[in-house]
Amino acid sequence: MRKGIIGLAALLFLGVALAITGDEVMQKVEARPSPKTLHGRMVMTLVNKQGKKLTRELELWSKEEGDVKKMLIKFLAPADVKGTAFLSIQKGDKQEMKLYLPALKRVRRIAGSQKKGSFMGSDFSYDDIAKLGSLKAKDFTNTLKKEETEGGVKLYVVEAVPKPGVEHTYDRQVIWVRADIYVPVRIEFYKKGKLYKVMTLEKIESFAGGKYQIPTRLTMENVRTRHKTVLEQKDLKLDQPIPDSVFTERFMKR
Amino acid sequence: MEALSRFATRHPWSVILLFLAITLALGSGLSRLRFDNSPESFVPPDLPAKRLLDEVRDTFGSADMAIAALKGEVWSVEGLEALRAATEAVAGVDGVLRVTSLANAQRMEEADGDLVIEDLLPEELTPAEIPGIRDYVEHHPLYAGRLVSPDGRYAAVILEVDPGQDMKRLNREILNALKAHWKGPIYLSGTPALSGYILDTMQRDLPVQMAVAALIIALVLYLNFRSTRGVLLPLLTVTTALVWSLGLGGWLGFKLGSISSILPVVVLAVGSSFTLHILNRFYHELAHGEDRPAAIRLAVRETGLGVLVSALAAGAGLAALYTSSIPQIKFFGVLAAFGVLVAFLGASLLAPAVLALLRNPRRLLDPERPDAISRLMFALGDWLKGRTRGILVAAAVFLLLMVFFATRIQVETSFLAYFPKSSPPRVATELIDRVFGGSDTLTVVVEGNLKDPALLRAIYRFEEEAKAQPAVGSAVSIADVIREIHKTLTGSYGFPDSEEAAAQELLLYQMSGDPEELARFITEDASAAQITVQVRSLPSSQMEALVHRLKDLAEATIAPHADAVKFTGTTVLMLEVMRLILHDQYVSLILALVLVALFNALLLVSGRVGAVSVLPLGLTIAGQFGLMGAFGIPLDTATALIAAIAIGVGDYSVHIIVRYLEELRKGAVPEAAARTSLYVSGRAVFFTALAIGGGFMALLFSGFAPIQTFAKLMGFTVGATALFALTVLPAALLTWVRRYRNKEVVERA
Repeated sequence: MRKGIIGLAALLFLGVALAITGDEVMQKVEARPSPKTLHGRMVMTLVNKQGKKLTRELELWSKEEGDVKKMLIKFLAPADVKGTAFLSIQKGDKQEMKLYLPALKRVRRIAGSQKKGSFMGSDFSYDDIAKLGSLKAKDFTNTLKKEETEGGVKLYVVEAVPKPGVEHTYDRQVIWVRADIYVPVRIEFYKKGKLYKVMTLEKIESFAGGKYQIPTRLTMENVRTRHKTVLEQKDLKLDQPIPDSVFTERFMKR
Repeated sequence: MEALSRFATRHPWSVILLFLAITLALGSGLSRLRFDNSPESFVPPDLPAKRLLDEVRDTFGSADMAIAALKGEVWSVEGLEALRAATEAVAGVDGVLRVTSLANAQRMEEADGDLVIEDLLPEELTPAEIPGIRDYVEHHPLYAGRLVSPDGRYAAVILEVDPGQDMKRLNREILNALKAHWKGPIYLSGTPALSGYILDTMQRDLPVQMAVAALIIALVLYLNFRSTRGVLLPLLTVTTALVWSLGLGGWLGFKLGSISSILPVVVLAVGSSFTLHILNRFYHELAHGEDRPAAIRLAVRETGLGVLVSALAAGAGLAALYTSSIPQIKFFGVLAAFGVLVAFLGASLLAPAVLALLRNPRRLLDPERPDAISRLMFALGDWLKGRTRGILVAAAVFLLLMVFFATRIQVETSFLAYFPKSSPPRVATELIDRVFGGSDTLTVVVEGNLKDPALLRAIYRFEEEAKAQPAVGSAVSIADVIREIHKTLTGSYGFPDSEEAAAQELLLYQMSGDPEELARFITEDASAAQITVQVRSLPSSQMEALVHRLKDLAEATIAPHADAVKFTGTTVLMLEVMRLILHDQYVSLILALVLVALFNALLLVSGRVGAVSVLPLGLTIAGQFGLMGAFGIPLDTATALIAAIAIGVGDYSVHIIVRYLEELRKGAVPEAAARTSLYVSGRAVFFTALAIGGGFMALLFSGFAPIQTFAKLMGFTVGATALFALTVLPAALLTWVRRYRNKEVVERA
C-alpha cells in the first residue's frame, strides 16, 4: 500500500516535472535560426576499430535562399584527392549533384538517391548531415522520455519515431536536447530495433552574439563496426555573402 | 591391489559414499560442458596461420562466408521482392555481420552522360524494369554468376558471419529468416554452415551412440555372465567413469567437438573390460567354493595386475594424445585417459565394495567353466605347438606389407568429408559448387600501395588466371571495383593511369555507398586489400595443390608490385591442421608404444617381456595404417586417434603374459604354460574383445563419415589385437621368453 502511494506520488511529480512535451521540445529545436550562408574548413578524422586514424580536410560553402539549398565541398587533403569537388543544389524535393575528379578533369552529374550514401566516405550519411539541425518535428511522434542533468545543464531526452508514411533511414532516434539552448547534444540512431549509430555533439559554439549555436566538433560512431568519424568545423564565417558563382562547375574545377 | 580390495570389502559403505560424493561433485560440471566444433577447436591458438586469419578478420571483417542458394524464378517481381525481404530478414539475425545479394547490390553506370549511382532494385519494382536490371547484372563482373546463376533459377545470399557464434543456432536462424520470405527450396553451405551442421549432428548423435554402446556391452556381458549383476556392475563402474570425466571436462571448461564426442563410447567400451575381468574371476572363485570376501580378494589379486597394466597402458596411450597440437584431440586425450583410470578404480574398489554388500547369487555359474570357447582356446594352444616359427614369419611379412601400404595414406581435413554422400549439407554444398562455382573461400591478402595502378593491374591479372583453374569459381577484389568505376567514368574497362586517379575513383566509390562496403575489400588507408577467391569444396590434398598453384601464381603476378602476399581463410587453416595431424601422429604413436612397453617391462620386471608385450599392438597399428593406405581411407581428425585408442583397447596381451609367467614360475614347461594361459585367459580376452568391439560399433550410428570409418577400423583393431594376442604373442613368448625366475608376479601389483 505504502509503495502504491509513493509510486503514485512519484508519477504525479514526474507529470509536473515533464510539463513540456516531446513535440514542444522538437519544435523549439526546429525553430532555432540557422545561418543563411556558411563558409569554413572541415577536418574529418576517420578512426577504425584498431584506432588507426585517417584525416581528410575539406573546404565547405553553403547557402540557403528560400527553398533552395546550395553546398559546395572541396577536398584540400590528402594530396592524392586534393581538388576533388562535390556540388549539391537542392530545390524543394529535387536535388542536383555534381562531382569533379581532377584526375579525369571532367565534371559529372550524379543521378540517383544519395541520401543513404556516406558523406565524403565518413560514418555520417548525407541524411545525417542534412537533418542535423532540422529534424522536421511534424514528421515524427516525439515522446519526452525523461530529463537528465549533465554538467549542471538540464537535458530533455526525446524519442522520435517516424510517423506512418514518412520515409526515414532509421526506425527510431533518441535525442538528448539541451534545455537551455534547445540544441541536440547526442543522438542515438536505431535500425531494425538495434542501436546502429551514435552521434555526439561535443562542442557547440555560439555565433553572432548567441543567435546561432553551431556544433563545431561532432563524432559519429557506428556501434556495430566500431568505426567512428570526428568532424571539426574551423574558421567558420556565418551570414557573409557568398556569390552564386561559387556553386558552379567552373568554380569546382578551379 | 590386494590392499585395495581388502579395504573395499571391509568398508564397503565408505567406498560407495566416497564414489557417490565425487560423482556428485564432478557430475555437477556436466551442465557446464559446452560444444564447439569451429575450425578454432582444431587449431592451436599460437599457430602463425591462425594469427594471420585473426588479423585479417579484424581488418576486413569476417573472413568466413556462408552461401545460401535460393531456388526459384529470380527474374520476376515476386522473386526479387521475396529476395529483398529474405535479405533484410537475414541481415537482422544476430551474428550475421554482412549480407550480400541482388537485393542490396548497387548499380553504378553511365546514362545520358550522367553518373547513376543507385540501389540495383528500385523501391517500387515493376515488371518492365526487370529486363534492364537483368541485363545490367549479367554484364557486371562482380554480380554475374555470383549473386544469381546464369540461368536465373538460383539467387545467392552471401553471408559473412561472426566466427565466435554458435553456428548451430546461426544455421537455424539463417534458414528460418530466409524461409519466412522465400518459398522455394533453400540450400546453405560454406565453412560456417558446415560447422553448424557438424555441431547439430554431433549433439543428436551423442545420446544415441551412448545408448547403443551401453546396450551392446550389456548384451555381451549377459552372454558372458548370464546374470543381471554381471551386466549392471560393469555398467555402473563405466557410467561413474563417464560422469567423472565429462564432469571434469565441464569444470575445466573443455568443449566437445566432433572428435571428442566419441569420448563416451571410448570410456564405456574400454572401461567395461576391467570389471569384466575381475567379475569373471570372482564368479570362478565362488564356483570353486570360496567364501565371498575371499573370492573378491582372490579375484582382485589374480586379475588385478592384468587390469592395472592394461588400465595404465590405455591411460598412457590416450594421455599421449596430450602431445597433439590440436586442442580438441588434446582435451579428448586427457579426459579419455582420466575416464579409463576412473573405470579402473571403479573395477578395483567400487565393484568389490558392491559385491561385498550383495548376497551371493542363488544360481552360480562359473564364467571360466569349460565351454565351446575355452575348448577352442585349448585347441588353439595345441595347434600353436611347433608352428611358432611359421607364425612369427607370417607376422613379419604382414608387418612389412602393412608398412608399405601405410606410406600411401592421404590426410583429409575438409569439413565436407564429415558428411555422408547423400546428407543435406553435402547436397547443398555440391549444388552451390555447381551453380555458383564454389562454396568455399580462400582469402589472399595483398599489402602494399593499393592506389598504385600497376599493383591493381597485377591483382586483376592474378584473378583472371586464377579463374582459369577449374576449381575456382570467382575471384573478387578492389581491382574489380575500380575497374568497374573506371568503366563507368570513362566508358571503357581499364585501370586509372595514376595514383591520384585511383585515389579519386576510390573516393567516389566510398562516397557513393556504405563505407563498410569498401572496408571488406580494402583498408581505409589503402595499404592492404583482400582478394576473395571462391572455390569448390575439395578434398584436402586437392585443395593443397590448388593453394600451391595459386600461391605460385600470386608470386609471379602480384608479388613484384606488392610488399607482401599472404594466403589465409578457414580452408587454408584446415590445411595447416592436416600437417599437424600427420606430424602429431608420429609423435603420439611412438610415445604411446614406448610408454606401454615401459609399463609392461617395469611391472613384469623384464625388458624382454615388455618388448614382446607390445608386439600384438605394433602389428595391429601397422595393420590399421596399412588398411587405410590400401583402401584409400584418409587419415582425418577422427582416424588420427585410432592408434592411440588401439593402445587403450588392445592391451589384452598382458592378461595372457601374466598367466604364462605365473605358470612358468610354478615350474611348467613353456609349451604347457602357453596352453594354460590361453585356456584360462583366452576366454576373457574373447569376451572383452566382443564387449569393446561391440561398444565401438555404436559409432556406426554417427552422422559423420569419418567416425563411421573410425568405427569400422575399430572393429578391425579389436579383432586383430585379440587375434595377435592369441597367436603371435604365445609364439613370441615361446621363442623369446622361455625362462622366468622372478618372484610371484601378481604379488608385485
